[in-house]
Amino acid sequence: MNRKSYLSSGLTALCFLVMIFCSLHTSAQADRTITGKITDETGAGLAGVSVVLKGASNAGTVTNETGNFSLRVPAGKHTLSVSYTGYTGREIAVDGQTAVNISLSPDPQAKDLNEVVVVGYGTQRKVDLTGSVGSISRKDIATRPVTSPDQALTGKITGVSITNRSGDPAAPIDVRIRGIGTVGTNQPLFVIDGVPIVQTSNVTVNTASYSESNPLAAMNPNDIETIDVLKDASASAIYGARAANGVIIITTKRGKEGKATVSYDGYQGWQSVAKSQYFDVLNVQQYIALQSELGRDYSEFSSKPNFDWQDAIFKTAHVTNHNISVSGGSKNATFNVGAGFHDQDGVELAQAFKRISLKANSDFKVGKFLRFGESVLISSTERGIQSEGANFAAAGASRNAPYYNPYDPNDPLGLNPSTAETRGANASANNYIWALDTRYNEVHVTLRKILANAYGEIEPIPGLKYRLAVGVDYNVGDGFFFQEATTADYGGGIRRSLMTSERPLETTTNMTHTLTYTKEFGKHSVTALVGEEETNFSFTKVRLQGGDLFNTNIRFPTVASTIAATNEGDHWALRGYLGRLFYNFDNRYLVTFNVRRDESSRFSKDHRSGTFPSVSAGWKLSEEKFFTKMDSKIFDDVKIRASWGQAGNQFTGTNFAYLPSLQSNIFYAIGAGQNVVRGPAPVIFANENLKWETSTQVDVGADITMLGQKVDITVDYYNKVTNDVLLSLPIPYVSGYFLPADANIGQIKNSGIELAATYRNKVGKLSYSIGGNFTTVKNKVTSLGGIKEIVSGAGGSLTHRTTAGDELGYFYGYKTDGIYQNAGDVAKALPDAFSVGAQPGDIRFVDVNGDSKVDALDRTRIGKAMPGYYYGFNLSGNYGAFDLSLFFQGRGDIDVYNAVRANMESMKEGNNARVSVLGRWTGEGTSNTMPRATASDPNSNTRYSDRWIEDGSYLRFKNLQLGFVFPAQKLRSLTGEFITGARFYVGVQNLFTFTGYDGYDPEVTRGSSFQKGEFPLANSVDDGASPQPRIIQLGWQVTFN
Amino acid sequence: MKSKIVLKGCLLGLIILLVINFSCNKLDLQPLDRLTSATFYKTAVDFDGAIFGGYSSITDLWGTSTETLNERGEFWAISLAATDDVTINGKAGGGGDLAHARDMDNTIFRASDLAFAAIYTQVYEGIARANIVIEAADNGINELTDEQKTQFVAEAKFIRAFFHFLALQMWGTPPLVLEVKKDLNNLASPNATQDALYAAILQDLQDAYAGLPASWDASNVGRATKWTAKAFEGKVDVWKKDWDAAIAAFATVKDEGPYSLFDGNADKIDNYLDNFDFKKENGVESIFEIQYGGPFSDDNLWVFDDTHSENFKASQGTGRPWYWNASNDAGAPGGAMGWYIPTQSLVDEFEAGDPRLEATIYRDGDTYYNRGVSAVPWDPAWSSNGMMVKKYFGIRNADNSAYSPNEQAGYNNERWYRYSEMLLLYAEALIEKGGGTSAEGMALVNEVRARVGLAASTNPDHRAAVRHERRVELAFEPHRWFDITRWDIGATVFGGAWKPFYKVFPFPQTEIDRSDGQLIQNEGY
Repeated sequence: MNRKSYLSSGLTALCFLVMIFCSLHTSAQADRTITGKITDETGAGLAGVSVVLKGASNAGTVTNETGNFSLRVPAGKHTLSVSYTGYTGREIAVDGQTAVNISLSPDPQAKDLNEVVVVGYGTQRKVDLTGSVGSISRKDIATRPVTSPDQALTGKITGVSITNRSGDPAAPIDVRIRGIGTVGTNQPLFVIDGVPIVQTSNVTVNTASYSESNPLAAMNPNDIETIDVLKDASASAIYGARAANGVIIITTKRGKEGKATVSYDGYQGWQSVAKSQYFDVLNVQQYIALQSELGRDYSEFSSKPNFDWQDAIFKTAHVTNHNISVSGGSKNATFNVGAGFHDQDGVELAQAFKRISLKANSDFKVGKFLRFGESVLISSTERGIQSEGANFAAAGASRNAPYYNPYDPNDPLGLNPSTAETRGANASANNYIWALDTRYNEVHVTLRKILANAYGEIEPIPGLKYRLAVGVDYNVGDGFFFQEATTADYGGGIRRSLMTSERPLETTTNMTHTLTYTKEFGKHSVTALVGEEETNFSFTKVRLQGGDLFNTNIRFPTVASTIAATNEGDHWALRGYLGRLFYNFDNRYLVTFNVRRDESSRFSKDHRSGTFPSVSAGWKLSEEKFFTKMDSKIFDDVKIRASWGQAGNQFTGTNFAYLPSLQSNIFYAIGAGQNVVRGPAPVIFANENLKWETSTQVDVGADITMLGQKVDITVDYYNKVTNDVLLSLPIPYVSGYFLPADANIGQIKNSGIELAATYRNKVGKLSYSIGGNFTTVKNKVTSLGGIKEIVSGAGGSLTHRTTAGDELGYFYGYKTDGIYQNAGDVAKALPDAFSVGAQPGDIRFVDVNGDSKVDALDRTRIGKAMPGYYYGFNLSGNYGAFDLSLFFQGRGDIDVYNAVRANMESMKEGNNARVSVLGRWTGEGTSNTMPRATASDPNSNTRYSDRWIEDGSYLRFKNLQLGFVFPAQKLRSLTGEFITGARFYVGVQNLFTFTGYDGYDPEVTRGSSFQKGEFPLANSVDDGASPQPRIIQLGWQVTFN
Repeated sequence: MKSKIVLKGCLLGLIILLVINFSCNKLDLQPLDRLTSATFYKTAVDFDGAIFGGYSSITDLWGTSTETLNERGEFWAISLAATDDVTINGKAGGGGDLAHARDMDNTIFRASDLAFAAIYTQVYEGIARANIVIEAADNGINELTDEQKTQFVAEAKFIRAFFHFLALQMWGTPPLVLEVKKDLNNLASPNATQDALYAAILQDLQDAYAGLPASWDASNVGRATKWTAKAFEGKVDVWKKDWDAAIAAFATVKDEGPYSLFDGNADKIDNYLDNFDFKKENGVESIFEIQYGGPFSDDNLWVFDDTHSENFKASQGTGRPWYWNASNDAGAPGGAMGWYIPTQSLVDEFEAGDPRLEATIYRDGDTYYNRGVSAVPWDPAWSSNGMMVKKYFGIRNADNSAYSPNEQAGYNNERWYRYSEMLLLYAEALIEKGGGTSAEGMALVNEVRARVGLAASTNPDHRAAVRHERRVELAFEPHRWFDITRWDIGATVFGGAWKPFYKVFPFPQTEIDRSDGQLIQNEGY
């Protein structure tokens, strides 16, 4: 299907849905319509407020995203009853008028009282929370131009750090809750409508770290009601074996009793990379001059014009987003159905992402005791990824010889092959235009997902509920890698056609039984929960590869002349028993106990089970008599919390890592006929003693509301200790194994402080709020077992090191100390194991250990590869019909290894360089930082050193949005009562980034290599991924009658 | 009322118990895509497979990978690019990929160079696979007969000796590993002494000689025989400078073994060319060849088949055509990178009239052949010094079936150890034993010369004669570097670029880092 037909089919589907739901839910005839807007104390529209016609049980509605509602009522006088959680309900008499605007104020008594937070296997009133839970709601997500739900968390919740691997849409995202507790996967457990999502990336093709996709991008952020982040162990321990990295619970929108409402919202966006972000590279003359110094003569190209390679790769890309949903229901059945379409190109050629999604949730009551319901997500995503060899295209292409032009009108393809004649022998020039043209090179990944959950609930005795929930997460991936045959070398060599296709099938099934009992007696209130949960995961993949396709119009590997196929598969199972006891005395003293026992197939029988307990307590100081007596008018609510608990991690880099097993895809050719035969051998060291990783966390915090509800403050101190860390341990090659071994080694501590505060107020027509959050993370590896150090890096490089006493995976290399200026300096140079003779103009490397020579032992800590703190703050206000919000996000105390600059300042090969090399050493005193140009580099000036480590702190103006809400009455009369509410907005995402970093973007994650997955031991490496683009956004939200 | 509640409660409990009971999931799972050691190593077929796994590690010495260390056929960089026989083509394609091969060419060796890590990995992987076979032969559950056991252990010991000897040549005092490592906390090994290494290697080769068959049936040709083991024993003795032992071993092979020089062609140079002919693999002169075959599966050159995360397999070929064939970048037909070219120094080594020069090197005036390319005049512009290696190429190997369809992989076996090399080692042992002269030794040198039609050597310096003969006869076979270090002629060959500690290579820095002080880096690095 081409792009156009996707678009049209998506739109058709949307229209179809609108028609169905509009026709189904046309309400009964009434005499008039009352419209209006419900606002909060700041004047902002309140979504989801229930508006009911008093005395008529079926006449009611809820407000839409902008706070508007529309309700048909019979003729005559009526009373509207308006209610919303946390606000004082109001009853408004309407006497013939058709428009009412109602302002609600927070209920000082009832404030937050009934607001619930989703905790594991149930909900809890926010005021009763004894653990550390952070939440965002649809308000924080809906109109932001985010591709996936996790992206929406950026800068919003204390303790949660979000880092995008690339600005390429649907690229993986690192979600870190309270630091890095393990060396393997640090991704939290995502639970979507009760179904735990497996955070693996099997759905990809030609797997490398740069072709991985974010599995959560299959979910439309617009379907989300709330995201709750369980940060401390008290909150997360109920998820036992998978909760060590925290748990993120995503709850999607469900229907509410009342008339059906249809809402449509969408935006158009244009994303781009500012030219000021481009690297300044040498022009033709400068390049030729540098290369001539390196012994390469490209003077024949001196009259050629400059070609701006970065400009050729970067593009202004379009984003389209449409969402439509219908929500409503009766007393016994409610529903919410939504459909979404998202189409986002990347800012570099060949990057694209598209999603069509359908979400349907409903709940039914049957008789007195029974409830049933389901939630279903069906989605299809398509992602275009830059082809192998053309990843990091903009950064890569900036290294091309600047006179090399990708176009040649005389060539059959209109492109210029890269040959010694067109670019000069040994000059670097890849025709990225060809490499990124999907007619010749294409990597495309499709993911089709069904995520469904159904539950039944029976309450035979008041307060006693049994619930059975069955969920499935079913993913079919289909990725292909295609290359067209070429007879000229455009930068990828002469080659035949090739088609690789991979089809992974991934299924997670989940079944949960829970029995809950709630009872209040006197001042005591108890909730008890017991449950059992079983999760099964299975994965299989078939890979087909065909070379020399019969005709490349048929893009199947099986029409090739050589065809190969492989399969792979994995499975695991988990069974857990869980329990929780919550006790509340007089609304003052709160205690929660959690325990879970898990058994996992991922470990041997002896090490299979683990028990994860937690306990937490809260004291509502403000409920005490002595406190209310003070009546200081400063504090409204004060709660102090403390918790202790344990959670586990069962994910290792390898499946069946405990079991000695053999790779059967090892071959040798033997016999007179040179037959290819199998030679099975182990390729991974099996560790039979492998077991859980356990993290123990202490959290002390307070929730404070002050100054008449104007100020909210939450503060937490956390200390998380991870023991028996599951580590992919790089082992000595002499063991016979190249790959690392999975092991439980040592201890990692993460501790820090989280502070979140909001202030809101109203001055005349202007209401505003200011909020901010700040998190510190101090990471320390307190033990590495008996291991002295782990030196690691992506793709076999040695860039990071982990030792006991420091944080995990710091940058580890040589320190530099200026440049040898003359022969006298050189004569004093120390013997250097990596130098075969220094000359003036070479870098002086520091003898760190003072043994009068420079060798591998002089490598030292040269930077920090994880942030020490991160923060976000926002400012929002309303003035009449206008609303404005500003959102900033940042992080600090982190360095980045600028591998791109290292490459472009090496002054060795035939690639283009940064203009910074113009300041290179050319004679005594000319530079003390940029060495001489030398093709052979006998001194190894380019070795990995602090030259390439930069401060990676940044502050980003993440989002700016200005909205305008149409006056409801005018809108109604203008549209003949068809449209009941409308808001238009303009927004800019990533408006500015304040940073001293000398690259596209300091927001980077792991070093790239063919090793997939996250890689905390090679973190914070910039290989030139696309920067986070600036997105200019034009959006609208409309509700229909 | 109360009884109703109890009844309801009981009913509910019953439902829950039933549902849970029927649904209980299985936790004892087995891998879907791998064998387990507990079910393997039983039949002779299993053991054949385990042995092939060991041989497979040898093929990876020339592996190309983007997944592991970014290897680019590293054993060529080590054994040839580093020497005075081969240099880097100034007109090569491939940009930065060949940077470290260029360092090798410039006699720059560093512990961090990936070549050393790449070879070290494969060496100890092969040793581990051999040790697994030796251990599994006594696992008590296999169905092997005593005869089969002896034979499999003998073959495993040959593989183990092959790798230990290579390690000794490379690093001087590498670790000696004679058992399967099982303790995660004790995986590193210290340096072994040369004495211990020689003793272990020779013992393994003697055991291999005792237990291996004299020949294999057609479907197993290419596996080591007892004569392979004996010939290696002599070679190891030469490195050990134990001339008597070497002479004894070589004499046994020469007198009793199955080998002979290719001879009998009308044109004498054809005798030499038969050695490198794709259609004459595992010929009479072949003591040990690394076996390549294909096409099989996808001919993806870019992965080590053993450790690729995608679980697909690589070509069973080498990247020889990719790295050595004439550079497409410089205009030659075909898609090759043409990294490596012969040096003038090597050309000069050939005496006038030695036909092996034309058989070994493309030069101006020659006719060039390639897969699917009919004869075209050799164009000196295709290489920065006008030359290209011709051994393993040329008209005899223009055969399509010797290459993968994408021309990157070649299926021509690597002739690791030829009978002519053994004769020259034999000659060397005799000459060294004779204090620099030996008529008997010169007779062997002349045997090698005669079959290409050259007259007997008149060089009175027998040591020089045999060294000359080795260089020209074995050009581009993986021996020159180890001859230079063995003869300790680095200063003569490389002049000022040579440093005495280059006699051995550095251990990989990663290995030093991971061995917790057990492995000591070679002096000077």
